[in-house]
Amino acid sequence: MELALLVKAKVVDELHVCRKNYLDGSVPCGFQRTLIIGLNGSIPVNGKEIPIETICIEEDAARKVREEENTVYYRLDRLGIPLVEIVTAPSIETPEELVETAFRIGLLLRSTGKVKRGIGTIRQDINVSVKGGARVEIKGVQKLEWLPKLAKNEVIRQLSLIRIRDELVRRGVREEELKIDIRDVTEVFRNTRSRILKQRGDERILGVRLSKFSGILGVEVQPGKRFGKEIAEKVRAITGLEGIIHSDENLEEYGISDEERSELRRALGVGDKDAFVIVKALRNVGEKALKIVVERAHQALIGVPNETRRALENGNSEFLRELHGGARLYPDTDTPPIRLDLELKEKVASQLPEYPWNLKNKLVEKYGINEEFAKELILEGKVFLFKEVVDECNVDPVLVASILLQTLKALEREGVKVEEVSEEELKEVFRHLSEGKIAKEAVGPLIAKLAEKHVGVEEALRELGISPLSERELEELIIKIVSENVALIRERGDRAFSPLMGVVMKQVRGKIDGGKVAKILKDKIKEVAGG
Amino acid sequence: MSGEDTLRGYRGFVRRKLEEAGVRVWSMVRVTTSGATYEGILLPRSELGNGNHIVLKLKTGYNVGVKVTEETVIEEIGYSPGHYVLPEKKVEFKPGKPLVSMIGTGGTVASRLDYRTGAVIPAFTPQELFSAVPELEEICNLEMISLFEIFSEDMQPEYWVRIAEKVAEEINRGVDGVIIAHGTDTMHFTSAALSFMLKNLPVPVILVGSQRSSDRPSSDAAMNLISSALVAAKSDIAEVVVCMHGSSSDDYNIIHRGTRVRKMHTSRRDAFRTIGDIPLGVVAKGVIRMLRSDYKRRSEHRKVTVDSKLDPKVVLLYTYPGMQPDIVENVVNADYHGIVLAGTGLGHCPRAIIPSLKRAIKDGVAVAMTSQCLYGFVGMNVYERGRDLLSLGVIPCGNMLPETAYVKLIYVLGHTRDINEVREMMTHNMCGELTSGEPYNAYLILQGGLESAAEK
Repeated sequence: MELALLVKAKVVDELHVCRKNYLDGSVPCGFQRTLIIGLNGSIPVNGKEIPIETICIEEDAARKVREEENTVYYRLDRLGIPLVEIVTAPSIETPEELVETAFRIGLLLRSTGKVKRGIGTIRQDINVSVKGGARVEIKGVQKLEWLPKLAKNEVIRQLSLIRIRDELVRRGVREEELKIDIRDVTEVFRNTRSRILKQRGDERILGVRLSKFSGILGVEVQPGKRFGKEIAEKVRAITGLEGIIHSDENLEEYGISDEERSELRRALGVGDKDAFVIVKALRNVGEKALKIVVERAHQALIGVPNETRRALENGNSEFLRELHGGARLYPDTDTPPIRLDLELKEKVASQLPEYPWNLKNKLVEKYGINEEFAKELILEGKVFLFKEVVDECNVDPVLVASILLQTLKALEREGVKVEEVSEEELKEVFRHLSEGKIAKEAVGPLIAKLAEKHVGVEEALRELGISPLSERELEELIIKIVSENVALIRERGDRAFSPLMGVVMKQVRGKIDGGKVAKILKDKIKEVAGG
Repeated sequence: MSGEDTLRGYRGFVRRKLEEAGVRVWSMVRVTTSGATYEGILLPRSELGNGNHIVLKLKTGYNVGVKVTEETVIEEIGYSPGHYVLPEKKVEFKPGKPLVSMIGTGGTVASRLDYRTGAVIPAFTPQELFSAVPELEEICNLEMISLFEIFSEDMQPEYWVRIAEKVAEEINRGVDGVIIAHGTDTMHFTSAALSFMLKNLPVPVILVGSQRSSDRPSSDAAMNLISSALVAAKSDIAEVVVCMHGSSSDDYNIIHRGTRVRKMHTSRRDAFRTIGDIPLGVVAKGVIRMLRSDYKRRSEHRKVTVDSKLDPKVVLLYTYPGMQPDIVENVVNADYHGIVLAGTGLGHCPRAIIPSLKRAIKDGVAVAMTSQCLYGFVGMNVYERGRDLLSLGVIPCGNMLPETAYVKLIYVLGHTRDINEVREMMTHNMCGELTSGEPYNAYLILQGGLESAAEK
C-alpha cells in the first residue's frame, strides 16, 4: 500500500486474490496467488511521468537450479516469499529511459526499507514490441545494466524476424506447404563417421523438409545467433533435446559426408529451394521436436510470435514459453475478498517516506555529506536511520554516513553478521559516540561484539576491555605522564608531543576521542615547557 | 436465461445502482468513482460479500472490488456472457465395454474452469464428465445418478441406507460396478456402513472423492475417477472399497477395504490409508495389481440384498485425562443404546467414569472398547483397568477402528438389543473390520524417515 501510494496509484477498494496457474513445477500447488493492490499510478522520470498500470502482491515461485533429461530440480527457498510486481505502461521510448525508470523504481522500493536486498531480489521483466512485431516478454533481468542491450537485441530480433517474414512472402511460401511430414532417416547414417549421429540405443534420426526455406535458417536474428539456433532453443526448452541439425549449417563439422547429405536430401525430398532439419532422439521425442520446428516455421510466415523469453547475459534471449495473457487468471477460492482498511490507508498515507530522488539533494544540502554517500544511503535503505541518528545524537553526519556505509561493510567482509545488530543497538552506539564515552576507533569492534551477542553497549564495552574515560580522568592521566616526562619536555619542547601522544594513546585508545587527547596533551606540554 | 438472476449475488443499494445503470452480470462496464475509472467485466458477487462493492474482471485478468457510492457512475460498454456449460461430448454406448453406474452424493466430482470469467463449472452429466476426464470413455460406459447433494460432514445413517438401496438397485439392473462419489471427510464411515449393509455383493462398489477441489491444478479428482472406473469395470473384487491416491504424486491409487480405511490427513492427496493391514491392491498406469488374495470375487450368480436395519442411537466417545462421568451419564439419560469408546492405549479409560459405565451397562446400554491409537489391538487383560472394564461387561473390539465400530454398533443394535447377541456380533468379523493379526509391515507411519536416519 505504501508503494501504491508512493506512485500515486489508486488503492483498490476490495482486494481479490487471484490464481495464476504455473504448470512447470515451480509452484508445487500448481498456482501462484496474486492480487492487485493499486492501479493507475505514475513515477517521474527525466521530467516525464511514466505511467504505472498496476501494483500487485504475489508469491514468488521456486527457483530452478538444474535440469537433467526430463527432471527439473528446484530450490524452495524463494517459494511463497511475497513480492511486489510493478507494471509500467508501454510508454518507455528509449533504452536510457528504461534504465532510469527501472533505477527509480528500485530506489523507491529500497527507500521504503521494507524490501529485501541482494541479487535477484529485484528482477525486471521487459516487454518489447516494434511496429509490425509483437509483444515479447523478457524475464529474469537481474542487473539494470543488461536492460538497454536486451531491449536493443530484442528490437534487432523482431526486425530480423519481420525481414524473414517478408522474404518468405516474397518466395510465396504458404502454410499448407510446410507439412509435418516426419521421416525416419536413420538408415542414411548407418555407416556414418559422424560422432554425433552414431546411433545410440533406441534413438533414431528423424528429419523434416521445410519447403522454400533454403537459407532462412542461416539468417542472423540476434548478434551471433542464427534463426536455426533460435528454433533449436525452443525445441530444447520444450523437449529437453540438446540440439537440431539444419541445412544452413556446415554439415562437415558434424562429420556428415557429402554422400550422406545427398542421400538425406533425397530421403526427405528436399529440393534446391528447400531446407531440412534433422534430430537424433527417441522416436516420440524426435517427432515432438520436429513438430515444434514445423510449427515455428508456420509462425515465421506471420512474423514475431508472442513469447516469454529468458534474458541471457550476453544481451540475447532464449525461448521460455508461449506468452500467457490475462486469461489464465482465476479467483482463489480459499481467500475471501479483503476490504480496504481505510484507517490503515490513512495511516500509511500520513507516514510516507520522502521520495528518494528529492532526498538526495536534501541530504547533501542539509547534512553536508557528499552526493555519493547520499546516493548510497538511499540505495541501501539506510537513509532514515541516518537521519534519526544525526538528528538525535549530534554526531558528525559524515562520520555517521561512513560508519553506516563503510564500517558496516568492512565488518561484513570480515564475516561479522552485521544484520544481527538492530537499529536500536546501532543508535545506542552512536549515542555513546556523541557523548564522548567511546572513541570512533571503538565503533567497529563494538558492533562486532553486539552482532555476536546482544548484551547492550555498556556490557559489550566491558567485555572488550574498553571502559569509557571521562575528560577528567584523561586529564589526570596526562598530568601524570607529563610529570613523569618533564625532562624530555624541557629538552625537546613541542617536539615531545609525538612520543608522549603515543604513550597516552596506548592507554586510552578507543576509550576517548584522539582529538581530545591531543588537545589536552598539547596544553599540558605547553604549561611545562613554558614554566 | 429467462428467470435467472442477471445480478447474481448483488443486494441492496449496489443492486439498485446496477439496475439503474441497466447493466447485468457479464456486462463490460466503465465505473467512475472518487476520481478513478475502471473498465472490466461485471462478475457475480459471492453471497458472503458485503453490500457495497462490485467485482470487476479487468482487462489484465485480475479481479478487483470497487466501492460504489451515490456518486459512482456506471455505464455499460459491452456484454459477453459467461459460458456455464462444458462443451458437450456425444457419448455413444459402446457394446463390449463394461457398464458402470456412478452415484453422486454431493459436491463436484469433476469440474472445469472457465478461464475467461474464472468460474468453476461442475461436471456431472456423463457428457460433461467425459469432456472433463476423457479417459473415462475408454474404460467403460458410464451412467450417472445424482442421489442427493449434501456435504459429507452432514451425512447421516439414513443416507447410508438410501445409498445402499440405490447401489443394490443398480447392481440388480445388471451393471458391472458401482462408483459412489462422496465427500472425503466421512467417506470411511459410509464405506464401513455399506460394507455391513450390502450382502452378497456380486460386483465391486467403489467410493471415491477428491482431496483437492478440481479448480486446483493439484486436484486428485481426475486420477481418482479414472482409477475407480478401472476398479469398477475391470477388477475381480466384489466388496465395498475406497479408491484414492496412494502418494502425493500421480503415481498410483490404493484400493482400501471399506472397513479398514481411514482419512489420516486434512489435506494431503494421499490422506486415505488402510490401518493395521495391507490394502487390497493398487492401480498404477492403468493396471490393477492386487496385494492380497483374501477378498470376495465377482460372481454373476450372486444377488445383492440390503440389510438396512440400523439403530442410530449410538455415540462415539474419545476418552481423555480429566474425563468426567457426567458425559456418560448424560448419554445414558438421553436414551442412547450404545457407546463406542475410543479408549487410550490398550483400551483404557479414567477410573472416574467407571461407575457411570457400570450404570450404563446395567441399564442395557452396549459399551464397546476400541483404541484411539488406531494401530494395534485392544488388550484388556494386560492391565487391571482393562480387566475391570471387561468384568463390567465392556465389549473389546480387537483392532476394529473406532469409526468402524461406531457404524457396526449402529448396524448390530438395529438387529438385536440382547447384550449377549450384541457381544457375539461385535466380536466376530463380518467384512474385514476385525482381523486376526497385524502384518509386520502394516504400520505405515514413517516419522520423517527416522528409519533410514537410524541406519546411518
